[in-house]
Amino acid sequence: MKAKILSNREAAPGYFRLAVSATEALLRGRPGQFVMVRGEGWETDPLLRRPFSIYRFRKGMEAVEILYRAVGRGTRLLSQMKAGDAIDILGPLGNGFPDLPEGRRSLLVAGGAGVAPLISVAEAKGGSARLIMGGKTKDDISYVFEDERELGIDVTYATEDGSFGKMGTSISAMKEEASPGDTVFACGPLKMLREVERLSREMGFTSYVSYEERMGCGTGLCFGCVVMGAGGEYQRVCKDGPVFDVNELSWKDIEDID
Amino acid sequence: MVDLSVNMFGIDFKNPVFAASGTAGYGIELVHYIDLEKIGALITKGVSPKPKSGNPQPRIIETPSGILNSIGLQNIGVKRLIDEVLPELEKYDTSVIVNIFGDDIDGYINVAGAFLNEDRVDALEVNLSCPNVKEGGIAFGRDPKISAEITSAVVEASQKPVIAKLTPNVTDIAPIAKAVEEAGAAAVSVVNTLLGMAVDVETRRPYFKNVTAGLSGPAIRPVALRFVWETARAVKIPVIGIGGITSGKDALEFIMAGAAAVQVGSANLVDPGVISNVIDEIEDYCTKNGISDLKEIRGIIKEEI
Repeated sequence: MKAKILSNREAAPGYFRLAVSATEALLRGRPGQFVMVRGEGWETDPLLRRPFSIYRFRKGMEAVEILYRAVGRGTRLLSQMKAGDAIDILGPLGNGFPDLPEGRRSLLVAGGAGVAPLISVAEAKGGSARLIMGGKTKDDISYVFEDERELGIDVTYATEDGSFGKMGTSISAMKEEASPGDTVFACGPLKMLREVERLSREMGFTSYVSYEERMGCGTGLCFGCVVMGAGGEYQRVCKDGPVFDVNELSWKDIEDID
Repeated sequence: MVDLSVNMFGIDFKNPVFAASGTAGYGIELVHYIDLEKIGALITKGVSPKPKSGNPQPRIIETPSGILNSIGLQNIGVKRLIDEVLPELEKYDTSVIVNIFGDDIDGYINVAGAFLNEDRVDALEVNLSCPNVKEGGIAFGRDPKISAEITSAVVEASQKPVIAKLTPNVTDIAPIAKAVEEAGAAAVSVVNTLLGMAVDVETRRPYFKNVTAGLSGPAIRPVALRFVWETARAVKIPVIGIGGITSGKDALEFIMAGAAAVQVGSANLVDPGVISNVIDEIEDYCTKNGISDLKEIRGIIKEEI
């Protein structure tokens, strides 16, 4: 569907926040769901849409916000678009995160831009979940500061170079804070998700991960974005995910291809 | 009033714009985005006698105006297609064509035979040409004799109209098209993906584990159009044109080159509602140009050569 860009600004070096007008259906999406986006006028190159988690549901503004890093051709083109430009947005797609059981502590564990689907979880929970935000340097985490203020969420920051918050990764910070019975929602690099899976077995907490894979259609049509499921069948990340209980995936069959 | 309906091999299709196999899932995925009853026909993802897990990641990469894929024919197998998918499609008044393949001739016969009493299925499309599997695949489709042998075996086993889907990865498509026509194919689909490849210059490795992959999308349209034109001149059975169609204008090019119908493939992945636009644009063109039946322009370019 056609939408308008309301704002598109660099919130930290290399990290952009894009706000686009949203339909009611899109605003009813669940945290963890995603959208497929392409700029109007891209013609056939770039051809495919790009997938982005919904970062914030801006219900008052009838808009959703997306967080992205300008790394490839599509995201670089996106970063050059301006308020008022037309954009084509398909969504909400995928399954989203489940509701949290009442009375259990939840931890949102993010690696860099992997925080994207987690901020909307924090928003939906009215700030009751704790966010553990990790990155290589302060630049990888600083765009979250404004969400922390607006939403009043508790955040533990960790940087690998120690430039802000605790020295270390979001995993090392999580180890200090998690206890059996917690529920962990995680999104970030594959290496980090592997650790979440291992620790949830060792420490006895429930974990859901938002899994990332290169996507073709985002709607289950092409079978391009699969991940091996625990039952020995490839699961479509776009349709069966992107959120999986860690036990639904066959981690030994998941290769590090990046 | 423009009548876009086409009759091919005794079946009336509402219009000549079909959803190509492999880009429409099992059809069930598409119903959230498009009125299935509007499209000319749905061609479901290829099924084999047994479920197939397909290739490991990576499976897909974008190229200039195109897509390289190495899905590897992942599918739920013919039994689950019949038990789970066909009853769902029963709810929609739409033509259903099932794409089938096997590892060997017995496999093709086995999967085709499963549809003998499935009235919901209007026709079978035989994949003679997947570039992304080791067994059979493209090697079958390059050989007129094997292509003909598979085609006649499928016709006999299924008792349904059989559309042979041909590979573009040959020097000359005409002998293969003629061979499957003689073997009893009701139509030919032209073309499947073009063999391509991509290299990761950082790792200095081929991007895909199978090295080569199938190229589709607007990048291949001129090549596909040429194959359709060559095929339409070689056979009397209907030619269904496929290759990078994203608009009504694209579809009309194929029809003017001799296609009786077209399939929209990669464009569904970009916009799952695109077939609806393609149909509307063809209708607009016909209205503006006083065309009441697409037969008036089918293969029209042949007149001038």
